[in-house]
Amino acid sequence: MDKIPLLSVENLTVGFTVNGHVLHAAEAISFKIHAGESLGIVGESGCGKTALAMALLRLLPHPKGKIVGGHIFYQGEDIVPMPLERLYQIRGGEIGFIFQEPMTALNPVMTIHKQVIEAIKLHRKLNKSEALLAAIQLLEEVGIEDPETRLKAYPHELSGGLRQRVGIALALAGNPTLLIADEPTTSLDASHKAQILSLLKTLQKKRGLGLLFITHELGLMRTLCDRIAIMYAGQIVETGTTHNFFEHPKHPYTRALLAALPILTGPKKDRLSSIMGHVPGLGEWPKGCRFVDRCPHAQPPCHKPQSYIKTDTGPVLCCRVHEL
Amino acid sequence: MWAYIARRLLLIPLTLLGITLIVFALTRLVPGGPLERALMEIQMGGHSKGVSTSPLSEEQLSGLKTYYGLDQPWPVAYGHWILKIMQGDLGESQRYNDPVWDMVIARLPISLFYGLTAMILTYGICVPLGILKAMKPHGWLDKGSSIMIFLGYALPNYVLGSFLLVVFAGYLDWFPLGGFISDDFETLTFWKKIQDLIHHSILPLCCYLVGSFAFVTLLIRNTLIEQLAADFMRTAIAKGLSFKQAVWRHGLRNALVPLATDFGQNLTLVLSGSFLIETLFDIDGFGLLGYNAILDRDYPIVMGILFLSALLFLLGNLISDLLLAWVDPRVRFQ
Amino acid sequence: MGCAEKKAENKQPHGIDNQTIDAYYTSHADFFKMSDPSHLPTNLIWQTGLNEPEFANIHAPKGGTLHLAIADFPRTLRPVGPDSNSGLRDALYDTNTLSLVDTHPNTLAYIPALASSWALGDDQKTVYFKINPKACYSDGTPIRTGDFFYNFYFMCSPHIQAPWYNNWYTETYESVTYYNDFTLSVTLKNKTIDPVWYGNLAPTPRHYYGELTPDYPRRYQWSFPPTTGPYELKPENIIKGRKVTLSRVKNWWAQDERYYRGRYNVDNITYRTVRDVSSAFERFKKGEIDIIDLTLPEYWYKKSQVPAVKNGFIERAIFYNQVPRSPAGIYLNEQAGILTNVNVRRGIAYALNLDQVIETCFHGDYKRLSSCAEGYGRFSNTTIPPTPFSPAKAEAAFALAGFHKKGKDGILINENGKRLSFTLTINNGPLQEMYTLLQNEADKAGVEIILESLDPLTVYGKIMSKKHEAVASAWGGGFSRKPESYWQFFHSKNALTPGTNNITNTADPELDVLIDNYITTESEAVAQSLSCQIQEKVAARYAYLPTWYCPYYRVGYWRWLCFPEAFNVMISDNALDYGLYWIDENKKTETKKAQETGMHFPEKIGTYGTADLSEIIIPNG
Ligand SMILES: Nc1ncnc2c1ncn2[C@@H]1O[C@H](COP(=O)(O)OP(=O)(O)OP(=O)(O)O)[C@@H](O)[C@H]1O
Ligand SMILES: [Mg+2]
Repeated sequence: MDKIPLLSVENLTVGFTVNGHVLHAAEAISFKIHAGESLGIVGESGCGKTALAMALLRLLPHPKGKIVGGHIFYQGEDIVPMPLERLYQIRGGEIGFIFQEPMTALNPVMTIHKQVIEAIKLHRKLNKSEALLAAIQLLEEVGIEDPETRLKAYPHELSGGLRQRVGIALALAGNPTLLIADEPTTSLDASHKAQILSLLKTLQKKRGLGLLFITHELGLMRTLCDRIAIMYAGQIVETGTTHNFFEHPKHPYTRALLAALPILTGPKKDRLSSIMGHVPGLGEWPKGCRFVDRCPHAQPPCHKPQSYIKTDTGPVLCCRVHEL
Repeated sequence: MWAYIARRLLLIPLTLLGITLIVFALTRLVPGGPLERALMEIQMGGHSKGVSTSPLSEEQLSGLKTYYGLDQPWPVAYGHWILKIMQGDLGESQRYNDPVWDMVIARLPISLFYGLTAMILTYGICVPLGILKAMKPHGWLDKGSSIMIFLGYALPNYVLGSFLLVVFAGYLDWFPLGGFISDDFETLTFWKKIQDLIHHSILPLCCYLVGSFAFVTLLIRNTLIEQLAADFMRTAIAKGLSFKQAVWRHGLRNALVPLATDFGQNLTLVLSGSFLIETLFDIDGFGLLGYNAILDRDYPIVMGILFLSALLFLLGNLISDLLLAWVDPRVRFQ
Repeated sequence: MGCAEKKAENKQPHGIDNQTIDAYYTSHADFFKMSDPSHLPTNLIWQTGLNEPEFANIHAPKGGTLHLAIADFPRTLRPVGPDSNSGLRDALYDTNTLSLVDTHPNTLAYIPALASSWALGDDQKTVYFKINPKACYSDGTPIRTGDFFYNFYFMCSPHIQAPWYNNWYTETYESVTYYNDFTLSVTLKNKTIDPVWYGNLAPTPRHYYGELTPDYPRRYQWSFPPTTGPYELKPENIIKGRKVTLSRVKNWWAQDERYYRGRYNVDNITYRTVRDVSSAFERFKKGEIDIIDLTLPEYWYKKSQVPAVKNGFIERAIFYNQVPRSPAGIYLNEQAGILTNVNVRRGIAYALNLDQVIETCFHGDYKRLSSCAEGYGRFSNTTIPPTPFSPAKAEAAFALAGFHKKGKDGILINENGKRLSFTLTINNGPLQEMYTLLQNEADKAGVEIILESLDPLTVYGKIMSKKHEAVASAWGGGFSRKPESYWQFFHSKNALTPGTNNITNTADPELDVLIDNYITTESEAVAQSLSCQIQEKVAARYAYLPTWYCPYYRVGYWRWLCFPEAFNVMISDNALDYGLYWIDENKKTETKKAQETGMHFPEKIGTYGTADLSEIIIPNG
């Protein structure tokens, strides 16, 4: 079991330069994903999920966003100091990325054909007809019917669900071993959402992919993810298996999340937002536990800087985790 | 699409009819036409031998009216004009007595030369410069060139022209003081001719370029910067493209969309020219022709140039639209 | 001589071919009279005009090319017809045409030109001329009586599209008589004190134009007819839009004649289109243009402070000429509103601070114009003083007109509350500055001037329809011995008639009588006295308020361009008038060398002519 993990993030800190100050959007993040394993990251809007995901492939907006510290080991290779040539191979070739907005993530002035073929050719040595064949297969694989016609289309001629399928196809084009999906279903309606989720699940199983699935919808996790990490205000506050997460939540924030989750099929509102108060913005974080202002169990020690406390389910960022 | 083009092409004559009708009517209804100008020249010229300043008889006046083509009511005259246009005849200048068409043709090489060179230089320099600026915004190249561009933009091209003329043609004597070509142009060898042309055209070109230069460069820079921040650029990079590749393959095409929206108007370059620059550098182009025609009340020229430039403008619009549809598949013909 | 070999003996005046012209003469037999030398009056006193001093440097060398700039290329090169009033007209025709006689530019006496002698008939209406047998056109064709006949055919033709010319020739002349190929007489419709001036015709080459047809304007648009003058324009020397080059007529028949010796010395004169003034000045500084006008203060005082001037490569000259001055001024409409009151008009005259305009806008170089006909010697009334600026006198005059009280804004009002205010129409252009100054100063005298600045054509339309209150205007005009325009400008016949020059709408019976007499009198002394009375009367009406005139012209020229000792003649309008200059090629090489070696010459500013009005030479009489 002590193989090199597929992805190992250690102490990763991501910052944005705002008015000359570097503000951390994600701080001292550590987690591992093994081959074939899927990790879900859950957190309220603005807690730094996208910042983290972008940082993993060094996709942060230049020059504002920047990796302030830490390591991202992909199969033991650190992505942070990596020369660009190697990074280009990893992007798409080793790690595929699925974006939140299928409406804008595709180039509006290029046909699907061009965009898919481009992605295929970047990582696979195929000639024209082989690439076309691969593209058709790929589209079929992501469940697009009549791929030949679809290839000729422009993004605006496709529905949102189809577009996200193309987005997934693009992410898979280079035959990656790890897939990062940043809220791939957020902007889709319920039926599409379910379809995409099951697609992801099938693909993951079939291809034996590692999956980092980012969402703020807790419910999606249960079926898709092996393990879950809860993010709050730039930090991972608790990590554990999906089962433990739902059955034995430790961190007060996790508990609040679950408590706020009525039934899975409940009203389609942002369920996390029903926790009282709101996530503090960048640079407004409390010195100690960042959840302290919203935590019903807050005590004086909570105002001191926190560190991870080992529990039977995994590390938890709460000084009172054993008392609760 | 063909139906769309056909429909647009059909609209052109109608639009032209409207525009020319209005201007033709204006030339007739606004006080101070060619006849008044001729009368003024004589009368204000004062008393000199051989010229009587006593008022003209009705008969004489109507003779002059006939000469200046003012003897018919304007709708009739407009009808005649349109009929002639349909036969490809732009009429004859009232002051030069040359066919307007010939005068246009005579100025064509000059306008084409300046128009095309300015266009090639604008796009050839501004597009790459805009790209470079966008790829490293706020870098030294971006900032430095921005200062130059704004300076050039703020300066009226006439002022810039006077300055260039006095300094580079007058004081430093690097360039000739105006003209399109040298007087002995005909006798020169081919290469000398090219040299001569370039020598004469550098200063006027600078003036022609300042305005569009700033405009195109900043347009490219700003749209490209906007495009570089777009989601699909991130997708492209996440696929494994380098930044440069992503810019070339994905960013640029999108950044060219606003450029395409008025690219067709380059067609009007054929008839363009600034009368101020042409005056300054003694270039016999369309700017001067049109300006003088208006001052001269030489209405056949005014109408001829109006007709041609409106035609080119409309065609340019059509070309722009087609081009836009070509670069941006989201645009549809209705 | 150039035309000696081409001895055509035209018994009948005829040109190239067609009978239509001859038929025209026959059908107008009352005008085109055929006679023979035996019918010449025997008592004629033939003048030859050979006793006047020569005014050119007869030793001036010939040769070289003079480089000049014109601001716009002409619309046509035709001498007559639409648009023939171009910037090149002077050079091509007006100063490049010999007519029968010439006026001595210093003594104003008649001197021979195409005619070697002339005589005045007893009737004070007929002038007889004998053509110099040597006289010929630039193409070698001799000039004969027939060319003067043809001149009438040409000038009266409807096809030239110039009714003003048609009118002049039909209004002025009674008949022209052929005695032989070298002798003719011209008879005027009216008696005049100076029949020679009217009788002095220029020929038109029948052999060139032949029968005129409606296509005349187009057909001759870009052609230069054979000329009687010293320079011709050959077709190969016309580069449309850019440049024309005049070349000296080879063996011009008059080049060694008295009064023409030493003149028209340069071989070629090029006129290049340089549309921008500052560009022209740059070309001048480079030596691409030999001479440039520096009359504008900005150029004379500031822009010409350049090394080439300091080093003496470029010399400058100011020449005080003696020419009739253009009646520049403010024309008040006597029939418009408050301006009908002479006291209002007088007050306005006192409210114009013209001295200050001259001081601030013209560097004190311009002079006050005091009458409507200045610069005509004895015909000019020099006793009329310019109206001084005096708010007090202005207010006194306004008070007489009922404008007693000052309103809140300092503008006078009368009992009915009417403000003392009028609109002054001006041409948009450089003079706006001057009128704005006048406007501000007039406020001090309690009169409001509302400036209305319009493009010249609109101004013209407005004043010709007599719809203006007041207009600032200047009329151009060529040299004339006596003022000609009283009738046009001030006779009641032209008041309120649209299209006439009486834009003050002056209608004064006494003035009418004076003007009528002025036109018909045969005595020069009477005419002079009437002229002075008319000017006095006009001045007293305060409808025409004279403003200013420029008493000189100023030029800068490269030192190889040489002028006679006196620089030019009294009545010259510009440095090149009368063709007295020449180019010294030695000086040119010397100057070029000096420029290279850094040598220099003393700076030179010459002042010539006379600014003193009393020195005016009185026309012979
Ligand atoms: N380019 C940027 N410049 C400055 N601050 C940024 C930038 N991008 C994101 N941030 C800030 O960083 C913080 C984290 O943003 P991020 O987009 O990672 O949140 P998220 O968890 O993905 O939220 P969402 O669920 O809305 O996608 C936010 O406070 C956001 O305002
Ligand atoms: Mg996000």
